[in-house]
Amino acid sequence: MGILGKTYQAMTDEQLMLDVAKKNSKAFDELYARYAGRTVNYFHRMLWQEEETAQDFTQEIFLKIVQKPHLYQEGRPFKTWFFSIANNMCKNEYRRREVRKPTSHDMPLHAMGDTGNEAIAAVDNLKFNEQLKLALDELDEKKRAVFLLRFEQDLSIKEISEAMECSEGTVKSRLFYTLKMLNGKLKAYEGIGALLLALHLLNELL
Amino acid sequence: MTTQKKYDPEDIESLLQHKSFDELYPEERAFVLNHMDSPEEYASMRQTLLELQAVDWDQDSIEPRADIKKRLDEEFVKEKKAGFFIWLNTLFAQGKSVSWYRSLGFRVAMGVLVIALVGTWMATRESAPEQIAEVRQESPNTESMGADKDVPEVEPDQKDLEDGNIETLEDPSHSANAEQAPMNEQVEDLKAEGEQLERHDEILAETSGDSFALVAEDDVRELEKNAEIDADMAFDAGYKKVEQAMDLDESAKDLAEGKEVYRAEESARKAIAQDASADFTAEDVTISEAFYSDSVVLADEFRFDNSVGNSVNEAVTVEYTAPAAQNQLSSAVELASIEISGGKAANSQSLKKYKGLLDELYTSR
Repeated sequence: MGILGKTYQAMTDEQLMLDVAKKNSKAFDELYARYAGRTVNYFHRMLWQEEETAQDFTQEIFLKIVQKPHLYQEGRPFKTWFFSIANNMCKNEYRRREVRKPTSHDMPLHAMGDTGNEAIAAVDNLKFNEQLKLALDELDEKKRAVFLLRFEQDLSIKEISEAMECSEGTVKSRLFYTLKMLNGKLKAYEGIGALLLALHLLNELL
Repeated sequence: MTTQKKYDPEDIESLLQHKSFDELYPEERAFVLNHMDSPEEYASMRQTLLELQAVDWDQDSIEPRADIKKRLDEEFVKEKKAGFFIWLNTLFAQGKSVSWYRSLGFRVAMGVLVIALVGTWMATRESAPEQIAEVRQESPNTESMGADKDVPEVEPDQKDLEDGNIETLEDPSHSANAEQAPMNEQVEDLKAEGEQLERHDEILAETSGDSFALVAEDDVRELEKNAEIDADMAFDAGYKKVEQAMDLDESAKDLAEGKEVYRAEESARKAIAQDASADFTAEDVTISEAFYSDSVVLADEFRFDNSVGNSVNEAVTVEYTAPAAQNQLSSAVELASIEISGGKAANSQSLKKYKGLLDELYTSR
């Protein structure tokens, strides 16, 4: 319970944002606690796994909230507004760099989805998550953003469409083609994926 | 065809998530197979989807640096100290975005300001006629300078003064008063005043109204800041529109691409179907030909067999007929022999009878 009788943990994101606009530092602390972790990881995956860039972008997006809280429109879901800003920042960065920087642990494309002995041997010891990250790196930024917002950030189709300012049909279509592409690339790791799935289900049961 | 309209391509995700291929209704299967190559691909994609939903994203997550929060807190304090600042567009909004006392305070201040401005304007308006009256009283002032009661008759020459025709005033024929020195002085004064007024009008005409406003330095800064923020907001809004337009463009491209892919797939499917149909027809013909040729062979064989059968039948018939004929022949032979023997016996009897008759005849003779 706060000094003024407010429990910030119980407040919605939108209420917190309105309080931030009134220069309430506790509201900002709570908002930061809710979003900082997921934001830095979102930027990390969107921006070629570059941790420093992700950290800088996280600072920048929260600076925008501190300096321009009035840009938040009351009544709009905070989450979609926040991720639309994050998404626009990524777009700007893509445009700025134009040419994609290769990651340090890129895997040759021919090995991805190849069911031959060499590919199986090459990926035998790699984790599913790492392969997924590599596969995500191969996606164009829009499909990657839609995928991460859906599966990592747990946003609904409607929320994604609002955050990315496109139709729900476009979001679903991008998700389908991304899934189809990933299906092709991750076939070689189906066993590991199935194992992870089994562990996940077991974990839920326990 | 109606099943196609019932779904969008994106509904596959929902089907993948909730149903295995075996659980799909026939129309759902048909729809799914329009977008996937086989039930096996459906099963594979379903597995991939479920795996992705089960991925533990926190497994290798990173944490934000500690100095970020510190820097943000500093910025927050700095912004807070920036002073009492109210966004005008939020003051009259209904809601909880601005505290009630700020809103009320601002409204009261605005009210006071409006009253003060109206009061000032009214006071200025009331004082204006007095100034005009003073100007008009200047000509009666000549009385105090010792002018005659005829001085007001000079008034028609006021037009000359305004036209700059000063000489007419200096002409004694136009003067009702012999004392021209004070009059000239007054004329000079009026002339100077007129020129001054003209200059003032020119300056007013050339200068914008804002230049006369007395603006405090703080206010200027505030205005600048507001302008900067407004520009920033306008830029953001413009940028957002550009982004939206680009997204729409991309969506259109995606859609077009999707349609192209779908069209290509449709064409491929049709080609495959035609090919398959052709194959089937060819196969059918082959089968028919084979059947025909088989039939021909069979017919020949049948015909052969039939002829053979006929022959056999004939043979059998012959075989069966021969003994009968033989028997018949035997019987005939036997009958013939019987007939022969009977004839011989009859002949013998007839001969005996003939001989007996002959004997009787010869006996009688």
